[in-house]
Amino acid sequence: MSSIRSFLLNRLVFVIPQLFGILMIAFFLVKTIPGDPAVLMLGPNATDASVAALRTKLGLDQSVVQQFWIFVTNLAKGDLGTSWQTTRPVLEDLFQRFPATLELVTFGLLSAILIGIPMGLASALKLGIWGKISNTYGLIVGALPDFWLGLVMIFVFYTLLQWAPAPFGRIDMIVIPPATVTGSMVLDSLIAGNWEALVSALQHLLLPALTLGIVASGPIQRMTQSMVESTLDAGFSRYQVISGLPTQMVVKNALKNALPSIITIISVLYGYLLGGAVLVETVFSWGGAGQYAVQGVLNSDVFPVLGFVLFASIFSLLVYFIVDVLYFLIDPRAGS
Amino acid sequence: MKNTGVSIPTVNRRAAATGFLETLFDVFRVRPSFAVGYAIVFLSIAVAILAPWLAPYDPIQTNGSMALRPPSAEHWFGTDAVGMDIFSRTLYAPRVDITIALFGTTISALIGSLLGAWVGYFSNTRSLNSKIGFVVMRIADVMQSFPVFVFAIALVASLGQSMSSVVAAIAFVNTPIYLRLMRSQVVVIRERLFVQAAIVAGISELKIIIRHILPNAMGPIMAQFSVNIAWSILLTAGLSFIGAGVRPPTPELGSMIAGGFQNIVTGQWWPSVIPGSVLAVIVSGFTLVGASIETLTNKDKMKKLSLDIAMHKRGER
Repeated sequence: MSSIRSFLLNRLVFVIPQLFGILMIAFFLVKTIPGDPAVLMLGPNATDASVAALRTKLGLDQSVVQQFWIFVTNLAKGDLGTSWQTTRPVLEDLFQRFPATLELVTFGLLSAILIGIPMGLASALKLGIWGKISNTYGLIVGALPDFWLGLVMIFVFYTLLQWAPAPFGRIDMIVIPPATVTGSMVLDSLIAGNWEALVSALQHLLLPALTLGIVASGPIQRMTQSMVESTLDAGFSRYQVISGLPTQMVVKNALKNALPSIITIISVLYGYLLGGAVLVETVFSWGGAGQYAVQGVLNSDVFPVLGFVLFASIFSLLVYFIVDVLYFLIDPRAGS
Repeated sequence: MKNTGVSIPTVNRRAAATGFLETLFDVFRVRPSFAVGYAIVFLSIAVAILAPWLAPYDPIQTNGSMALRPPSAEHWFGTDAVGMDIFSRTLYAPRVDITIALFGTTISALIGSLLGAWVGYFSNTRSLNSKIGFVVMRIADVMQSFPVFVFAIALVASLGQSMSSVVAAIAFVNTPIYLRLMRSQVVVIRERLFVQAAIVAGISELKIIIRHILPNAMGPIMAQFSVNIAWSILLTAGLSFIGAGVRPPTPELGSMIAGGFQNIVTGQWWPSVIPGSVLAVIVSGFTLVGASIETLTNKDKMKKLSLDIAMHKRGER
């Protein structure tokens, strides 16, 4: 057990400088975007004097390095700054929006796993026509633009068939949303026992989550296929076959050996989708954190971008951390 | 030197050429998806080059009286909200997308793999170079833990919205991939005998890296390259879709999809579904070519391929 502890400690030592580096790059990058927040906040009719006064108030008249220092000291006090677009503290905005993104990405990834792993197994085991279908599926699906797939979904299931609700937001306007506990509409409605809200939330979640799920199932399918194929080719699998073990057991053992790689690709996808889901968020007017950050970039609103980058990085690091722990649990060799 | 009577065999060019074609044919027969991939890539590049001669209309010519017409004999793919011919725009659009992706990926592959080779060669050597390499890898860590899309948008916004900014953004976000890939290759190759021999022979480090290590590490890089072009086309289109890439009216697939976004809810599917399908086809073409290159550079997959060809031929007889 000492090996796992030293490994985790080693990991933690790198986390803080890494987060600092991420914030630093993000800060200087966003600061180089042309456009003066003070001018944008006050509108085109502002006088030069009022703009200058606001610049002083926001600390914009100081050097970028000083501004970064102010940001970091405020961050240490738990203040992520204020967005000039929503005129609210970024931390509050993110507490509202990040769970929305997380809900979308988590459900998307779950459906990707449910689609990807069985299909990967089907093509690795060459299950006749299913194997061929999964093969083609894996190659094509990864090439689909997710934002376009979302549009096609809306066209088919909303415009044509009228099965899905209008692609605006996370719940019907007329339905009273449940009290916020976890930030996930689905979980909150469950906790509140509000069935009407639950149904509406699930209906709204279905298309965007499926869009992400279909696109993300491609890499999972391919990884499952190639890993199971190569473990089935390995000596120990052949030995099991020669020894007369039932095929099911051989496949089960192969899958267990392929699992670390599959978990890795899932964790990478999780981190990627947090930021990558922004296009799907836009298509479905999801109101998530990615959308918030992109609006920030496009309107030189610095703090939402930094807040999102911070949240997303911490979350990705957390996921990678959990994956490392999972490795230890799955594969005893990982500790040595 | 006396003539020893041994005739040096010369290459029969025609036989070599037909042999190559036969092999290609054999490969395509057992892996039809590869053929599809190459066909798509060649076709889309040809269309991109020949667009001015193929397009029936000016791609940026608006026509208010012909707005949002469904596909017809006159306008094969219909017209968009301002009356531009979608077929002509779709023919022109791959020019922008493929060019941006190609340039961005090439730049990142060059910088990333050279840097990766250098870092890999000196890693764990207790030299100053090794320490610099460590710093480079940590910078790559930081860059990769960034949310890619937000990073790319911020880069484009910072550099000013233009094609070259999108190229720079793509080059930037892809470089760490090649850096890592090359480093992991070189760390292994460095230990092989021929490199040790070159070191003993006193060849300079730069020459060892370029002449002896790089050629042996190129396989996975090439496979990654084609897959990466596919991904970069998606990124370019995604950036334009969100309004941070190529601006309309320049014909570009992502901005075309964005332009038709509002119409889809009211039932006019053609302005965004058609460019989206074309985008998907082009991207899958490059992905399939990537898969074929990966097969060529992977010993196990190559073995399986030759086995499949042999089985196929036996089945014919």
